[in-house]
Amino acid sequence: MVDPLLTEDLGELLQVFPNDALRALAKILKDGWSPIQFLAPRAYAAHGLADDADFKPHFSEIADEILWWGSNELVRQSTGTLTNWRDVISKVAATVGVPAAERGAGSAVWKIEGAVLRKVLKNWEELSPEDRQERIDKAGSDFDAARGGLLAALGVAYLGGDALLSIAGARVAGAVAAGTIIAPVAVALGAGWTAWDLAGPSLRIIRPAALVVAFTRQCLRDERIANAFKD
Amino acid sequence: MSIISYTAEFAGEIANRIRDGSLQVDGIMLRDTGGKIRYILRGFENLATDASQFPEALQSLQSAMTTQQILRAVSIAQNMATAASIQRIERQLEQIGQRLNHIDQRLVLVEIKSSLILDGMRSGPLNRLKGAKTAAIVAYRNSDATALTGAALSAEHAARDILDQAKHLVQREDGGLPAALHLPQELGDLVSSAVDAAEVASAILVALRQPDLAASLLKEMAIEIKQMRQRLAVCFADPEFLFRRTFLDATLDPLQIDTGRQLRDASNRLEWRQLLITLGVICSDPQRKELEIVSGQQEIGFQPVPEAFVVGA
Repeated sequence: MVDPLLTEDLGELLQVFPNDALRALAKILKDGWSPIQFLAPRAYAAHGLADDADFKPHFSEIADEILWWGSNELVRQSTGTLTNWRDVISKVAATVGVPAAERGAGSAVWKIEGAVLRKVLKNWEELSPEDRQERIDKAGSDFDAARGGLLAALGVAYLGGDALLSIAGARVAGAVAAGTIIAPVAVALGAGWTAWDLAGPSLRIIRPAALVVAFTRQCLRDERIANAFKD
Repeated sequence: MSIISYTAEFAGEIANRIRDGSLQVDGIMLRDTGGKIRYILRGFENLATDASQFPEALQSLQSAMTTQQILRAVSIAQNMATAASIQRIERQLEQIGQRLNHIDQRLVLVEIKSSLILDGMRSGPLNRLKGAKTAAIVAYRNSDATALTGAALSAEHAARDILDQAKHLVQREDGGLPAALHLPQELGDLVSSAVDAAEVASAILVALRQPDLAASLLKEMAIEIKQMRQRLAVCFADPEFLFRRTFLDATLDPLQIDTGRQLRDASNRLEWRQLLITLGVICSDPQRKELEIVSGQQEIGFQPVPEAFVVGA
């Protein structure tokens, strides 16, 4: 049996995600808009849920919608088939500048996600405080959607990637709320990558979604091992 | 030390505390909510390993402990009852030898052997242990206390050497994280070998009628393993290390989890043995056939741990 935290199947992976991470993903999806008619049903049931609702029964629809956004190309539209998570994360990796050697067919999906996470954190650290603020402003109300607006209140715009994640991790018990915390950061970074947005609407959605998936998978793996060493 | 029979009235209170969760079953130990060992389950070594053959009188205890917990306690108690035999020590030495040889081979494969641990450091402790065991048996049967003391020192030295190598893997950093995280299996094998070696050393000390020295060696090593576990747990839990953790090989995750459990079992084993020696449950064999024996207990019961001897978190 494949370890669900190492799987390449997005649906299987989201099945073990905590509620907060699924809520963060549902929010990213809900805010997405496409001029192209959806061929597959969106995760409307999850879009309409209140923040404190149970998102776990909708993991499969959320996974399908992420893959739909990742399949948002004319050829795939015509065939009606969804892409897979490997293609999506590889596409995101390419657009954020992960070297080809780290995102090739021989790389495991979790490895590509790790490379995306590292690249994004470096991108964030390289930004000036003004640029970070501008991106946060562009992300608009998404920061307020984070639990209690914690990150905004702590002046997240002036923090580096490591410090940012330190706070994200320290503010929550384990990985449970990781998705909620990282999602606004992902959106803020996504808003700054407008140059690539012209390539199609999907990247606006799949980049932050990929970051939430990568971050949450890493947190869940780490938490599982840390628990094995504890009493 | 008095033992509360499980049929006694006070045993009912203990069973209630197990039921309400204020006492937790951990093998043959009962820990309080703070993790401290408060009672030892006694007499389980005489039970059958088949739940359908449990005596009828055990029913009241079965309402507090699951069958799985009882069977685990039986297995551990039986294991403890034979832990002291010379044959058992022979097997432990064989296992240590196999583990240490595998480590040598694996470190050669990952090409970091020379930078991590000097050649011969693993074979040294094993040879010392084998020598100590042989010397101890001869010295013990001939009542040669001086030779027995030398053997005890030698075995203790070997146990500490192996543990030092495990600590080295945890302290040495590679990519900003302990090297042990890249070599979880090697860490687990070193720690298990150190614990086996400590058991041999403590058995010789018990034979020398120096239970305090034996208990203190076990306690010290249990603490050091706990410190290793804490450091490694922090490496996986601290968000500051997240960036570095993204470089770790995820296919090692199952091994990391196994190693975590192995280290936890190792510190538990040392802690239990320390307590059993301190309480006199494990003592020297008056017939001098074995280095130590486990004092028998016919009736099932709970042995309270006096406050002064309480160990645990």
